Amino acid sequence: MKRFALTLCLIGISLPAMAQAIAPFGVDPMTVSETGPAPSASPQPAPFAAEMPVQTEIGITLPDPILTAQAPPQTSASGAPDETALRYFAQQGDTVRLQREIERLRALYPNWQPPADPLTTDFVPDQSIVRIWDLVTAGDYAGARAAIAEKKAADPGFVPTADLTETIERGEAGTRLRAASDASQFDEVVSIAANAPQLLTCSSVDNLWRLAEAFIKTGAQQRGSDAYSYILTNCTDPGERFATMQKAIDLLDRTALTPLLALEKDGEFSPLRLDLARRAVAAALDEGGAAPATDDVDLLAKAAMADKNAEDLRLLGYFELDRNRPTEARRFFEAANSAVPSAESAQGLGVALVQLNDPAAAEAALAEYRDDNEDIAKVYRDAAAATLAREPRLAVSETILGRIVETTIATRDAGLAQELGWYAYAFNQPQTALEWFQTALGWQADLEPAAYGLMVSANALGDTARVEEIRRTWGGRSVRIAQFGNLTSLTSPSSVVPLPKPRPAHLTQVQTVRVAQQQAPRQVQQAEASSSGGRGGGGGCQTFRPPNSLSPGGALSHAWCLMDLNRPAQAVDHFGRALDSANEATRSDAAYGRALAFIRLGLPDEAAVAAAAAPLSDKRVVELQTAILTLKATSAYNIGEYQLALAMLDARAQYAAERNDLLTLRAWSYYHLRRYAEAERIFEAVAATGYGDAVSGLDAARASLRSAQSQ
Amino acid sequence: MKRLATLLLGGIMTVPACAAPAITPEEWQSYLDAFVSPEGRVIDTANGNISHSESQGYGLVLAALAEDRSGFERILNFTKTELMIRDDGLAAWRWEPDADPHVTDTNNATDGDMLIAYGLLLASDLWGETTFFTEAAAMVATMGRNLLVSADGLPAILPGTEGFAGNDATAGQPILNPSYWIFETLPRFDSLDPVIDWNAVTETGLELLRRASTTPAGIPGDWVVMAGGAIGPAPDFPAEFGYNGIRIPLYLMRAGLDPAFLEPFRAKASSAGLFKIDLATGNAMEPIDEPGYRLIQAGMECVATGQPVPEELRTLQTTSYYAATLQLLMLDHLRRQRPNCLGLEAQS
Repeated sequence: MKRFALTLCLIGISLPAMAQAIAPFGVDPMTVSETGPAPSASPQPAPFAAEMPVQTEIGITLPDPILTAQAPPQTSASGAPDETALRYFAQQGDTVRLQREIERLRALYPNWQPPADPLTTDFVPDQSIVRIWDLVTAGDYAGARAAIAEKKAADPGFVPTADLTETIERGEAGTRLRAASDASQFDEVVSIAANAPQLLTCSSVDNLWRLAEAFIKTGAQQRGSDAYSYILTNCTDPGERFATMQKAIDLLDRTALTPLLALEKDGEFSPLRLDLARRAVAAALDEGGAAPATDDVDLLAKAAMADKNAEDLRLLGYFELDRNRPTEARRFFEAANSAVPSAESAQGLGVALVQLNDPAAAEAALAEYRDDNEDIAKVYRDAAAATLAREPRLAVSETILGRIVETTIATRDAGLAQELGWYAYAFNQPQTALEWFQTALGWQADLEPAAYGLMVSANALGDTARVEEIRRTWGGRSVRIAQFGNLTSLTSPSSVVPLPKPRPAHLTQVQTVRVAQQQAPRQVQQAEASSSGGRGGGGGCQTFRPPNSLSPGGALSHAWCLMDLNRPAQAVDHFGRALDSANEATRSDAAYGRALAFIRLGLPDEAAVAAAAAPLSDKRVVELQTAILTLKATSAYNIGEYQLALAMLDARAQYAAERNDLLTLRAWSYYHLRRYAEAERIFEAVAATGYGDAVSGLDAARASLRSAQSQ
Repeated sequence: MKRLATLLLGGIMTVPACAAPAITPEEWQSYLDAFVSPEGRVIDTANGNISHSESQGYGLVLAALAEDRSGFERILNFTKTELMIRDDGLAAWRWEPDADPHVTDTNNATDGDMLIAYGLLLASDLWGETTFFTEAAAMVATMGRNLLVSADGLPAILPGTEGFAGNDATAGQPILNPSYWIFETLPRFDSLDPVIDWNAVTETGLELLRRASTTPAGIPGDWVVMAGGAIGPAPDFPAEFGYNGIRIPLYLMRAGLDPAFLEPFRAKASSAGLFKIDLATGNAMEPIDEPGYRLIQAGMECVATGQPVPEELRTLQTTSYYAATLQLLMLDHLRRQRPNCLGLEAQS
């Protein structure tokens, strides 16, 4: 099979690629065989150096050396040549083969003259040879070999021409190459190609594709790249060039593609460049995906905007969301939705708007599609919950409230029902609130915020029996319910922030805390009223004193007293009065206290403003910053802003070490961002300190890791 | 260029230089018509019309025995282009007409490779084609280096490159198929490759049969493990003698080996033919009952008693690819070596 490897290169395969001669991908370690010198014409470098497969023949007795470089001796050089093949090629219009056959016969029969007109009909061809060539032309190499065997049996002197033998061998090598490639026997593909370089031409570009794949799959990526480069340099068929680039994109990494893309002619690869940009942006959204090149993002954005390609626009939207640029994300989602209004685009827009703290707009964008599928329904309910929970509380229109209620009931969403409860409570409808909290508990019996809300509402309605009943049934499970009304319990905001659970973002627990704390003064007042003024002595703060009735210094003392009673809302006003002092120490103390009060109310932004009202000692700055950032992190987490929660925790870490509860919050944030490995690591570390709340997180993270791996 | 097989244990198969082939053109044509496609694919008609390296190998051997160069070329073309695509130059074991790609499992089956190489050697002998010899030699060299394995300390044939090395359940010993000992090929391979002692492989095959003769069934299972001086059925395979093993007496007879090795197989047959045998009890499970198979039983009977084989088994019956293949191999053997079994005078 190998003996004609070099001579075959001279056969006129009528293609520019063969004239181009050298493809730059050799097969190492191979040398040009000594056994196959070219019989005529000047030596021509082959795309592949031929190889003698010496390794399999060591120690084996060969009957004859297989060193035949020339075509086998012809039947006889003395008689008249058989012009059958010559005429056959002429009839087929195969001028290259025709010329070769003329040269071959001339070499054998120096006195022979080729027919002036090889198409004349006076010649009677050997039909058996015509039949063999017909079989070869039809690609039936098995049939051709059988026919040659029959011809030999009938005519023992018959020897097929080198051209015939080589053509069959080349065809068979091509079949083997395809079969080996189909069966993923890539070493064999390379070996076949190395021994049959005539297969590697622009006219059989499929062979080159298969060889390139085999190189790449056997670790020779550069050679694979060279093969594609060879095609793009030498071959001209536009469809094949395009397909070549597509295949390269499938098999090579991005850097290897750059030199291939440079071989582009007349912008033929524009759609592919766009596809590459699309892939790069999409890949960035994968777990641990690399960031795309700016050029790619720009190219995709430009094309998507120009073409109004909703799918690409959405991809860009999610990409921007992923890198925490919700404003840009909103722009893309809006463009997508205006190109083709769809649930998919509305969903992305809703997510972006929620992140932009515009839940009402999110709710409006999502409303139409809220029943389309479970994914979009979840986003809708998050938006609805955030809409209800806006601070300061804003009234929601009848229409919107109507569809939120409808969705809540249709989906039996206990979290949303609970949120409706707090909404009603905020607008002084404790009876309605109580009913929503009851409904929420009916759907989810272990929903602590609903139980707490029920307690607060019942208390507002004066139903102490129910308050105590809730304390009895829930006290063991919830500290804040157990200590409801106990004035000394609320020593720091974080102590009443329940640790986040792996729940949807719409459980904005910080909201419940805030309401609870606003509730606290009322508790005190009620306690006060029932104590029949027994502790109303001077110097105390049990009796309400308008701030402006006090001196700044007096207001400061009063404010601290109110803080001791855990009445931060009132304390805010008294600290504010103290800020009027001319004394810098008093003002500093007042600013500090006012900031603390806001923190206790769960209002970190106001706290930050308050803290800036007067110079503070470094120690207090650290204390306030730590508390503010703790609150911000918790708030961010509770509205599903996990990236923001992490950023706040990172900022906080500059002021104070992270406690176990905040480490757990950090881990849950990672968990919700699907960064399960990081979540697992932290949960594991915290759980190892004996902090029980991390254990359930650890289980959840591990389960998610497993399911991510099993997909 | 004619190369005669090295004789191992007495006069056995060679391709006669001038005599007419033992397989008649009519028989061979009916085999081609029934089981060989125009592309040269030898089709296992009883097995979803798939092909194997084994069927291609049998096709090549039979084409050479029938001295049909044309058919041989067809079958070889398919074998080489569609199955001999492994990186090591051996053949993938299975080709499925309805699968894409047709070769989905590139493991080899060593008996298929042995048959292909042997077919090439017979063709080289017959037609003096050196490339056939070269290709066979390369395959034999590869098999000798990659597919011989130590089984209980003896050189044995590994049934395939993947999946037969053995494990804890086999005490680390390889899983073997006794019917892969195509005895007539082994001395031929031995003469090709001075580095590999293929004759020792023959001895292992005979030792395997000796060990089996002391088991309850007296004959080996289709898939076995040799360990601790004994032989037993391979775990995870049916503990039975069946369609694989029925070739063993055929191969023993064709290689001219000691007829004593036939006796346990003959004892498990009856006048009705061969049976699947339960190795644990030695009891017959079901008949292996096509004319091709019955001729093997009748051949053993003739070797032992001199009684000619029944008339009706002397004509090829193309009932199934496998039975017809074994029948042709048996007819070739009887006509060439044991004319008395066909009621004929011994040839001079």
